[in-house]
Amino acid sequence: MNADKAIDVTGKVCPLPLITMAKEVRTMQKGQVLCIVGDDPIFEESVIDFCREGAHELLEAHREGKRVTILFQV
Amino acid sequence: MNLNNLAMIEEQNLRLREENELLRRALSETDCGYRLIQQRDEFAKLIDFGKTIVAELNINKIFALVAEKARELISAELLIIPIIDANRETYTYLAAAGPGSADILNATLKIGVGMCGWVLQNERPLLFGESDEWWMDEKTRWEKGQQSALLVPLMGKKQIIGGLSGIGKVGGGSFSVHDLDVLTLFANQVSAAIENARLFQEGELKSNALTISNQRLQEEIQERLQAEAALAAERERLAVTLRSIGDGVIATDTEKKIVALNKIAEELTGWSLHEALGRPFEEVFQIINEQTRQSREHPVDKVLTSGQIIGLANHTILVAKDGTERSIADSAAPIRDEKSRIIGVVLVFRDVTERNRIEKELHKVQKLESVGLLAGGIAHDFNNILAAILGNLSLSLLDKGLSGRTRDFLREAEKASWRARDLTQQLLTFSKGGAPIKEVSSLDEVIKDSANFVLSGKQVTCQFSFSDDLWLVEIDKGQISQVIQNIVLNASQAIVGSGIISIACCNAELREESKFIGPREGKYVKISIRDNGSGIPASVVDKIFDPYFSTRKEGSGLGLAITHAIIAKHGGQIYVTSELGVGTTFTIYLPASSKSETSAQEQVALSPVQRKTNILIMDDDEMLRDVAKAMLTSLGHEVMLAADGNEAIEVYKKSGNTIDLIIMDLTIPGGMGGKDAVGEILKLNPAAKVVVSSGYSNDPIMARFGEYGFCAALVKPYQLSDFTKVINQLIQ
Ligand SMILES: Nc1ncnc2c1ncn2[C@@H]1O[C@H](COP(=O)(O)OP(=O)(O)OP(=O)(O)O)[C@@H](O)[C@H]1O
Ligand SMILES: [Mg+2]
Repeated sequence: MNADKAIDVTGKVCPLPLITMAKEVRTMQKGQVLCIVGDDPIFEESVIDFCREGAHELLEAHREGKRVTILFQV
Repeated sequence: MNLNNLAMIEEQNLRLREENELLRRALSETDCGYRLIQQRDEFAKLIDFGKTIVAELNINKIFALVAEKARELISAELLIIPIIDANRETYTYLAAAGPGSADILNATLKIGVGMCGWVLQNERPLLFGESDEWWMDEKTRWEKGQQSALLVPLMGKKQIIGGLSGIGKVGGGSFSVHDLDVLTLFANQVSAAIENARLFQEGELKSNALTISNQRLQEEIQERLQAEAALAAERERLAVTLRSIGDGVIATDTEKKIVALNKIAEELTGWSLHEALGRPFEEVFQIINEQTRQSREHPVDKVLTSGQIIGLANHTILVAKDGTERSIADSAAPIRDEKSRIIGVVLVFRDVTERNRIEKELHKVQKLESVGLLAGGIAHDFNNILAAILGNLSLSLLDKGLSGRTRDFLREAEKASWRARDLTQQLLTFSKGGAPIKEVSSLDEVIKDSANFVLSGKQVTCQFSFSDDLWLVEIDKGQISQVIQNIVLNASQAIVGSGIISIACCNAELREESKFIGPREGKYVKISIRDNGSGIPASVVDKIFDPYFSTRKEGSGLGLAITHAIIAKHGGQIYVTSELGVGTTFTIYLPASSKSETSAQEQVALSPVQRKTNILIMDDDEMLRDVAKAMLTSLGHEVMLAADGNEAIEVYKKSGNTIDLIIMDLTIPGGMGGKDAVGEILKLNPAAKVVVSSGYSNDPIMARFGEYGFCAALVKPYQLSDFTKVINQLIQ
């Protein structure tokens, strides 16, 4: 699945990944796909919560060790 | 306090400080002691920070201070403060201290999202570190090398208001449970300050808002006061305008209740504004039909149902509170508000009683004048013919050899001719602009003679009641006699069988204020003639003064028309009031004279001619000339004749001043009349005695003959007695 935008927040801890993601989402159009990669232990949980609260459709999520990649529709 | 004491205290202090330092060093040698010292420092800081913060009231400064001090307390790389927003669904990082804080400041997230979200939602502290105070599942368990995090809630008095969040322990590693305790203590200490500051800020905002709204209120009040003042001024202006309007004005609401009433309306309705306000319109404004005397449809009802301006029907009478009736004309219109909704009715009306009366009078006079014009034309010739008949009849009656029977027939013929003459005279009264031949006179004799003359031989008695010192009047006795005769005759005709006619005469001085319908202010002699006859139906009372209006078979309908004309020409007025079956009263006002009764006293008693007089008669009518000559000759006078002015002058010149008296016709068709000839004759002899004669008794020259050089005026047709009177008066 191709993403319209991709951001990497590895090394950043909560709430920075969330804040970075929220800022990015605001610059994008509805329907576009954002890909975000992070390694904060609460990262996956936070992104899922973020999508649920903001009604963004979660498209994909996969983990390689600590690294989690998530795609969702803005 | 003395210096010794002070020095002692200083010394003591110094010693204490030294002891303290010693103890500190000793303690720091042991692990437990070290911790104690550390804790004591922490508490000192805590208390110190707390004091600083609590003293601060500016919320932004408080947040900045809290972030900074908390970071210091727990040695965090970064300290951020999430505060729950007013909607209690999101939280915003209102403060941050440490590297990268700018990225975080003012970011807003949903409660439930992120670690902070978890703390705010669960209202519990969170330690992400080696002591495992919090984990969500295996993957969120802290491992060495990871950044540790420490979060505590900020609890307000009633609910959670936010949190303090430290991220990353300075120098790596994890936050400890001790850090958690210290931050919790600190949070508890500052949360009250934050809440207070926020409340204060809100309060300030509120009070600001209050001040602003208070100002607005003041302004509004001011505006309203101004508007009210303007309104009051406008109201006052309207009230003054309304008061000054010459017409009556009444305004009602849609319930037909009176809301305004001006001064004229007060006068006309008899209701004061005070009494009328709020009353039903119909109660104050009572109107009836003049003819049917039924109440009329109310204009206000019509306006409210039709929404249109309406005029009031003719013959409307307004009945005032005291029963006074007035003819009114008016119109009513809806009052609309700015949205064009009808909110009431305004009624404008005026008293037209006087106007109606004047119009009626004018109408009557005009009618009479047109009749007069018509009558005048025939009456003149008719009069001349009558003069011939009458002259010949009186001459015939002078014949001593007549039998008694013939004499009676002739007398009857003469009587009928007199009647004819009277009628002609009545008609002539109408014709062109004639002024009565007025003389200053008292009324009682004229009235009594005229009334008695009419009533002689009738079953009707006449009662007179005259004030003692009646003012004199300037009247044409013949015409006023005619007036009295007409009225008394009508009265006697209205009485079936026997009855009473009362004639009263008194002085009347009228002032402007007298509100009754009547003549203008001034001095008058008032004559009332009352009968107890049949009365006049209300439906015809308006018409009795009209020419040719009669209810009697043999009536000509001219009697009262002429009466009216005569009174008008005397500057007087005549009114009638009547009640069916009760009787009728005619009231006449004649202007009192300022002159004294000289001419009236000068009247010469009729007596036979003392000596022979030379008389010149000038008239274009041959028949009339001959009759006059015969009459005068029968009286023993010498008579010469002329057909016009030129001939008269010739005759006069030739006579060589032997002519004692000249009687000249006023106008000669196609020739010189008496009017012009008199001047010529007076040139020849300024002492010449010239008498004017005319069939038009109301010709201005006949009335003011003296101004034209005449000594007297004679009305045709001549009577013997007229000649005698004039000759006796002029020839002594
Ligand atoms: N005193 C009265 N009582 C009742 N009706 C009257 C009285 N005076 C006048 N009238 C009415 O007014 C009418 C008009 O009067 P007016 O004198 O003008 O004419 P007339 O009497 O009918 O005729 P004329 O006077 O010419 O012979 C009368 O026909 C009568 O109906
Ligand atoms: Mg009459």
